[in-house]
Amino acid sequence: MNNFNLIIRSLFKKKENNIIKILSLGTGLAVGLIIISKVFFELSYDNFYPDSERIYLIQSVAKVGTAGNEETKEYVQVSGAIAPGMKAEVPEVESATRITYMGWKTPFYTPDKKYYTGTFIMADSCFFDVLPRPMIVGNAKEILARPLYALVSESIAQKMGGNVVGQSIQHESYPGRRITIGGIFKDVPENTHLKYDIVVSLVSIKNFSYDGSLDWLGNDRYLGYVKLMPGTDPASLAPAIRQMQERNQSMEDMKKAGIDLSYTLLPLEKLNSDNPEAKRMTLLLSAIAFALIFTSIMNYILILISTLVNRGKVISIYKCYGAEKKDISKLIFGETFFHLIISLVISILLIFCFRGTAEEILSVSVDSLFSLRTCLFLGIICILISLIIGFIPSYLFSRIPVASVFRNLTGTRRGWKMALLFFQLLTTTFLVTLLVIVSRQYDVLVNVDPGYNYEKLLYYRASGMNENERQKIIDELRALSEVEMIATADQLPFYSQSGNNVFLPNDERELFNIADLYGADENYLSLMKIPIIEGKGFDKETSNKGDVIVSRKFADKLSEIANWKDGAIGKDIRISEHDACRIVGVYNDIRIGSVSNEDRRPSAIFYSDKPAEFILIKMNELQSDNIQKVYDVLKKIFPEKDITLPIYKDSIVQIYYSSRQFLNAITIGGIVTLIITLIGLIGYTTHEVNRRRSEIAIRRVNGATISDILKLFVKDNLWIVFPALVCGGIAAAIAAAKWMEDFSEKTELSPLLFISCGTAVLVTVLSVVCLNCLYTANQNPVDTLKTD
Amino acid sequence: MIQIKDLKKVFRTEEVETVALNGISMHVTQGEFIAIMGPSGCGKSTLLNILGLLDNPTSGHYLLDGKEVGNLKEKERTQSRKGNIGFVFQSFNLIEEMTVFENVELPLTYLKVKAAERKKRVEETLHKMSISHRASHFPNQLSGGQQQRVAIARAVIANPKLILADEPTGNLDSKNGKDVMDLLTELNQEGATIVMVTHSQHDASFAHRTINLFDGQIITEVESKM
Repeated sequence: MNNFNLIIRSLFKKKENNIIKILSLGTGLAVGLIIISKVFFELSYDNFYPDSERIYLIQSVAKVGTAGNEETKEYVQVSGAIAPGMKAEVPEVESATRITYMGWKTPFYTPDKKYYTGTFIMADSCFFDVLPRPMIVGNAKEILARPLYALVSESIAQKMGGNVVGQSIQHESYPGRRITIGGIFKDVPENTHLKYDIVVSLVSIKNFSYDGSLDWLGNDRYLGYVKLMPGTDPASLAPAIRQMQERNQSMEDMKKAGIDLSYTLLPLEKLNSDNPEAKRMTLLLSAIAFALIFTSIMNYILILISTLVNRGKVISIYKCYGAEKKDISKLIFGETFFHLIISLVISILLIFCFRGTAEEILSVSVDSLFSLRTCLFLGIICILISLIIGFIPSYLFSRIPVASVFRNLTGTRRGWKMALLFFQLLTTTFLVTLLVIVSRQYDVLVNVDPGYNYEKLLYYRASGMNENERQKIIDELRALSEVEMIATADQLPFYSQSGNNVFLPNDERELFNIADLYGADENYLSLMKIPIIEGKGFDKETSNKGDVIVSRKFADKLSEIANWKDGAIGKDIRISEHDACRIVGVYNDIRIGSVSNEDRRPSAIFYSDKPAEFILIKMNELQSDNIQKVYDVLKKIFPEKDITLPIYKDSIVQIYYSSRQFLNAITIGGIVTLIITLIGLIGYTTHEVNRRRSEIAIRRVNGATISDILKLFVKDNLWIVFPALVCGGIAAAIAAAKWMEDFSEKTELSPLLFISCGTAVLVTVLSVVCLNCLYTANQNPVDTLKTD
Repeated sequence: MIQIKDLKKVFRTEEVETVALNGISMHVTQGEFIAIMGPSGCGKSTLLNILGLLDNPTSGHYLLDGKEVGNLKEKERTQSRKGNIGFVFQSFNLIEEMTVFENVELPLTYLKVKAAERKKRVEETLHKMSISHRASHFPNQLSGGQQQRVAIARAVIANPKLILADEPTGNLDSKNGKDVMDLLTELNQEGATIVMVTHSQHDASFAHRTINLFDGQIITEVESKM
C-alpha cells in the first residue's frame, strides 16, 4: 500500500480539516515568503556586479570646527578629480570612475517631439570598467568618450522603437542640446543603489553646466567609485589617499577655514544594507515574515494535533498490525510534506494572482524578488518548515499507545495545543498592535505641520524654460478665477537641499553650513504662509537682489557666533554660491526634507526678481474641474509637452512611500496572521468542544446554563490569552520604538493604545470561542449522551 | 502455546489504583478455541491486550511458545506480534481510506512481503472469505457483515499462530454473526488458535473451553460439550 494514495484519499476528509490547514499554511507562506524575498532583495544590493566585493564608493568625511567643538559630516559626493586622482596616484586602485546625476525620472524628447521619461546620469568613459553592464549595441568606452553622446537602456530603447542608435534626444531641462544615442545596454537590475536609464558622456558636461570634472575641491556633485586590486584592504589606503590630497588639495587653506577633509571607501555591497533605514526596515520585515510563517506553522501543527483523538485509533490499528514508530513517522512526515507541497503551490498561485499588489507594496517586480539565490534560500526555509511540521506531529502520533485500538484515546496533548495557541496569539497581538502604531505614525507623517501651509496647492516644474515662457504661464494662470495666488521658487522645502557655507564679510572662516532654498519671489512667503518673525519679507518695490531672509535657527546661530546683540536684521554676510547678501528678515524654522529624514540645518531664502523653476499655484478650491482648467492652460501654451501638475499634498504623501509600504506590509501580514490564528482557534475549540461533548451534556443535565458552559471554555482559554497579549504588546512596543527611532515627530505610545489593541484581540478571540461553543452547548444533552 | 502464571495488571492514576487483572493463571494449547466471558470491567479486554502483546502485565509471567514475553519493550512486542498474532475487533477497525484489498494487505506490508506475493495471498484470502468481488471497495461501502469478514481476512492473511477476537459479533445481526462464527470455527479447524472475548453465550458455545472472569480473576473454566 502506498502512503501517497492514503494521503490523497484523506485530503478531503472533513474531520482532519486538511483543506483549512493547507489553505492557511499556503496563505501564510505566500505572504511570508514574499516578505523574506524582499528582505533578501534588500541584502543583495549591487552584488550582481562582477567583483562587487572589490568595488567601493568614495565617501567624503569633513571635520568642521575647532578641537573639542568638532562636527563630523559624512557624505558620498566628491569633487570631480578625486576618483581619477585615486586611479592615477594610488597603486592599489585597479580602476576608477565618477558619475553625476542629470535628472531623476526626467522627461526627454526626440526631434519629432515624442516625450519619454528616464533617469539621466553623466559618466566617464571607464564607467563600465568599474560598474559594468552588458552591451547590446555599441562600445561603451568609445561612446562615452565622445561629447554629446549617450547610451540608453534596453527598456528605453524598446519604448522608443527598438534600434535607436543614431537617433538624437533632448533633455527637457536643456533644450537645444542634442544628445546622440550611440549604444544600448542591458537594463540595470532593480537591486542597485545607482539606478539610471541614460548615460551621457561626462565630456559633454560643459554643454549643460559648469565643468568641474577636474576640480580637486568644491563642485562636489560626483559619485566616485574605485575598484581595488584583489586582496587590498581599503583601510590600508588611507595614507596613500592622504598623500594624494596633500599633493593636489590646498590643505593649508582648508585648515584655516576650520575644515579637515578626508576620504574613506564604502563597500559597494553594503551601501544599502548598512543604511540605517534599510537596516531597520529589513529587521522589521524579517520579524513580520517570521511571525507570519511561524503562526502558519503553529496553526498547521495545532490543527493536526487537535485531530489526535480522532486519528489515534487508526494509528493504533497500524501499530497493531506491525507498524513501528518509524513507519508512523514516515506516514505523518509524508502527509505533512505533501500538504506543504500543495501549500507552496497555493502560495505561488496567490503570489501570481496578486502580483500587481505585491509589486506595488514592495516597490519591486516579482521577477527581481525571486532570483536564483533567493529561491535557493527560500528552498532551505521550506525544508526547515517541512521538518518542523513533520517532526512534532510525527513524534506525538508515533507515541500513541497501540492499546488504543481497544479503547478511545484519552490523552489530549493540551499542553502542546496551549503552547502553540499562545505563540499564535502572541504574534497576532504583536502584528495588530504594530499595525495600529504604524498607521498612527503614518498619519503623523503625512499630516504634521511643517511650518508652512500647502492646502489647495499645485505646482508645475518649468524646467528648461526661459524667463518669458515662465512669465507667460504665470500671467495666464493668474487670469483664471479658480486660482487664488501664484508664486515661484527655485526649491520646494520637502526636497533634499543643497548646502552652502556662511561667512562674515572679510572673514575666510566657514561659520556653518545651511540648507539653501535659493530664490523665491515676493509672493512665496504669503502663499506658503511662512510667518516673518523679525524684519520683513520680500516685496517688489523695496526688495533687491542679494536680500535674504533666514530661519530663526540661522539668525540665532549667527548672532551668537558674531556676537550681535541687536539681532541679525540688516547685517551683511557672505554665503557661498551667492556671495554678498543682506539679511532682511527672519522666519520661523520650517521643515526641510521629511519627518523621517529631516534636514536640521539652518535655512535661507533669497529674493528672486525673475520667475523661478517651480511655479506654485494656490487654488480657491482644489477640485478636479479646477485642476483640469490649470492643466488646459499649460497644455495650450506647450501643446507638445507632457504636463505633470502634482498636488503638493500628494508629493508630501509620496515622500513617505516607504512608510506606506511598510504599513501595507504590516496590514497584510497582520490580517493574514489574525485570520490564520482565528482558523487555528476555531479548529482547536471545535475539537475541544467535540472532545468534551459528554461532559457538556452531563453538566447541562445537572443544571448548567449555556452561559455556564461558555464560561467554562472562556476561562479555559483566558489563562493563555492574557500572557500572550502582554508579550505581544511588549514585542510591538520594542519594534515600534526601533522603527520610529529617526522620525522627528512621533506618535505617542500610550498605555491606552496597547490596552485597546489587546482588548480588541481579546474580544475577537473570545467571540470566536463563544460562537464556536454555542452550537454544542445548545444541543439537547440527551441526544448527545445517546450518540456518545 | 500460551502459559500465563499469576498475571497482574494494575492501572494507576494520580489518585486511583485499579486492579484490572489479579493473579490470573491459564494456558492455551495450539489449535484451541477459547472463549473469555465476564461482565463489563472484569478485565477481559485487558487480558486480550496482554495476550495480543499490545500491553505488558504489571507482574506475573506470560510465555508465548515457551518464550517469556511479559516484559518485552514496545519494539520487541511489535516484532513478536508481527505475523504471529491476528486481531478481530467488535467495531471492525478497518482503515477508512484503504480499500478492502489494501486493508487486508496491511500486515503483509509490514512483514516486507513482496508486492506480487502480497497480491496473490490477498486474492486467495479474499476469495476464501467470499469477499473478492468487493476488493476495490472502501469499508464504508460494505455492510457490517462484509466489514467483519474483511477484518477477519486481515487477521489471518499473515497465517498467525494466534487469532484474538474481541466480541467479533457484537456489532452484527444474528445472520452475519453466525457467518462470522462459522468462519472462525473453520479457521480453527484449519489449525488456528483462537482466543475470543464475548458476552454471548451462543458465541461462546463455538469454543472448546470457556473462561469466566470476575473482578480480574478467573472464577470458572468450562470445557465445551461439543
